[in-house]
Amino acid sequence: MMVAEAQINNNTINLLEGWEEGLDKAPEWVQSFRKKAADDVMKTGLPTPAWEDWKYTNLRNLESVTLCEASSLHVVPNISSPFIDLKPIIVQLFNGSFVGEMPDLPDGLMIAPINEVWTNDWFKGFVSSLSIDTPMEALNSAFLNDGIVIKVSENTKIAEPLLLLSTYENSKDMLSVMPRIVIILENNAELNIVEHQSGIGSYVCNQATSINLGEKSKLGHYILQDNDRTQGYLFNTTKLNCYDDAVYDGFSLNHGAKLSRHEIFADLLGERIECIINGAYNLISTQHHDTTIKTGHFSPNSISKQIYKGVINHEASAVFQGRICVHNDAQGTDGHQLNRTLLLSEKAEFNAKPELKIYADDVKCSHGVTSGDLNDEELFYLRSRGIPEIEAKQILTKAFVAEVIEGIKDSVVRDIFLSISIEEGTK
Amino acid sequence: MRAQLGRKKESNYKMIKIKDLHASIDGKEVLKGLSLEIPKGEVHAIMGPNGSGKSTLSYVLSGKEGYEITSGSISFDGHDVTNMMPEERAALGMFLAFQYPVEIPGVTTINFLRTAINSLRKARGEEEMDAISFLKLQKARTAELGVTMDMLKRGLNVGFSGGEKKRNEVLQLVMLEPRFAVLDETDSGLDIDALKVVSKGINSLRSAERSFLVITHYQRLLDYIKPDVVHVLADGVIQKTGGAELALELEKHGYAEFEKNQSNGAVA
Repeated sequence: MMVAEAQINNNTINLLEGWEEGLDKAPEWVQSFRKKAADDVMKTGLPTPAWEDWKYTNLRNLESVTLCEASSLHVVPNISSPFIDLKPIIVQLFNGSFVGEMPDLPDGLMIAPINEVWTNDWFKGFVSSLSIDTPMEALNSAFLNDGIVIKVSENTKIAEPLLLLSTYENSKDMLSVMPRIVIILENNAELNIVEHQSGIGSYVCNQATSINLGEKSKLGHYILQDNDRTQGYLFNTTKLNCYDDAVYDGFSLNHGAKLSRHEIFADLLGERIECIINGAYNLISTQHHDTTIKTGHFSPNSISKQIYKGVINHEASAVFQGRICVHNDAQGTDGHQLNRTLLLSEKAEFNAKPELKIYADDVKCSHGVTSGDLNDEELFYLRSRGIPEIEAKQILTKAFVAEVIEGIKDSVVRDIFLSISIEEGTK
Repeated sequence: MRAQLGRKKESNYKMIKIKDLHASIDGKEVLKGLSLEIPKGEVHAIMGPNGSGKSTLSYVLSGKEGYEITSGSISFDGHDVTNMMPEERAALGMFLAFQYPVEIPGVTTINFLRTAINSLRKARGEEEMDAISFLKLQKARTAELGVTMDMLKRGLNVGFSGGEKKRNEVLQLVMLEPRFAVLDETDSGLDIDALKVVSKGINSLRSAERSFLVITHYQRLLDYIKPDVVHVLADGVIQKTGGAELALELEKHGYAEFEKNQSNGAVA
């Protein structure tokens, strides 16, 4: 864990409130896992801008929030999602907990609430082997209870996509939700998952996603984060472990909450892995979004690619931090990272920190960051054909983002993302 | 077809009237009192050396930002368009075929064409074109120009060769059917076969109701698109006006005669 100067401020105490609830009902290993995590959070406190990785994202506003318990509603909320068109297997989480009925699942696919599988040895083995690298992960771990496990057995290809509808809703005080999503693909397994996260009202959601991709497995992991833009704090920490010949095709479209941070740790432990982590974000008003990606190449001949495109309007701000670390043994690594940002207002702010750390000799690595306004020549071209200025700007903004959406390997998912209005989301 | 056009002009109605136009870019005057009138149904060619102001004229006619008109005026079909926005000029029926069409990734050519057609219709208070009529029109026009479905589905001009970009400009011209079109060096970068295809497309639009301004450096294009009138532009003003034979003369003797008039620096 990154230990900076301990700073136990109000928001640490606020967010830890209630972590002991239900602790006695959990298996013993979960109890000690949670206690240790809570201890860790108390030791380090939550990040402040004095921490190198949190220089541009300030959590001080969290100090003033009053949290209330997550509503344990058991009525399935009526959610509209453009991904229904995929005719997917639908699983719904409301405020972090599984709701509704478990759909019929094809052979080889297991989906279960965490607190129904946590007595199993494999689950215990997996979760307790995970490193905890950030206070947000530790905070999530202190509450381990909500969320689901998705597991695909060896040599199983799941044809239907899985749609995970995650809704957070609270109309009174702030609500804190700490879901854990565990995705395990055994060797030679395949699955496509679409996560549609939708938050309404004020809430704090701190999700941790732990993904394990066995040899020759393939995961398509597509996220639409479609929250209320004026309220809500959303933290998402994804831990990805990949083994030989695994393929991860990741894409997220973030319309943001008031403040959001998506932190991804991708460890390429095997050889010949293809790991794509792409995304786009569109921010308005005073929204703040932070994408922080740390990719580690530990073995030879793997490919990692990240392309992020951001559209920042009004007084919104965004951060992109990307680190590719190529370790000694990872010869033949192909690692690329690109971040392009469109600043549509003079008050929009963007901070980037690309980093390459290379300890092997035979590698191909690149990184790049650009930011700027819409291209005047392109704008003039469209207007000269009769397209009014406002519409021309919308077309170019959408096109700017479309370029990264077009990289999605699943063509049907790709078309749905392309149809989502970049300004409005699905709302 | 040609005989039926041009010759049949009864009225001498001026579609375009440019009066004593002075225009600058970055504080440097490029057009220095240019006057030009193009009657309805006529094809005029502007020829001139590099830096004479040919492209500036095309941009000023289409309303590109960054060009300051310090005096003079442009009127189109009775409307003063001097200070109009590019989209307003397009809605009135003006069109520019670009010398260097931009590449716009993420906007497919086909969606762009449909958006453009419907924007023009909306601005004119007409109903939007439905998908079936659009496809019918698109199929007919693309066949004539040898534009493939693959090109239409790709990002606008992205990865197009020079010739494909020019064919795409002419495709837009024949789809949008403007009443006045400026063709800015449409022949540059075209081989002879492409030049024939492109010229055929342009000629198919010639009519008594439509005027053209063909900007070119070489006479070659004018073998295929026969102009009614040829102007020589040098140093920001029209230096000479004549019939189609003037182009041949220029081909023979070059622009030396006019270039001596051209003052400091080259501006495209």
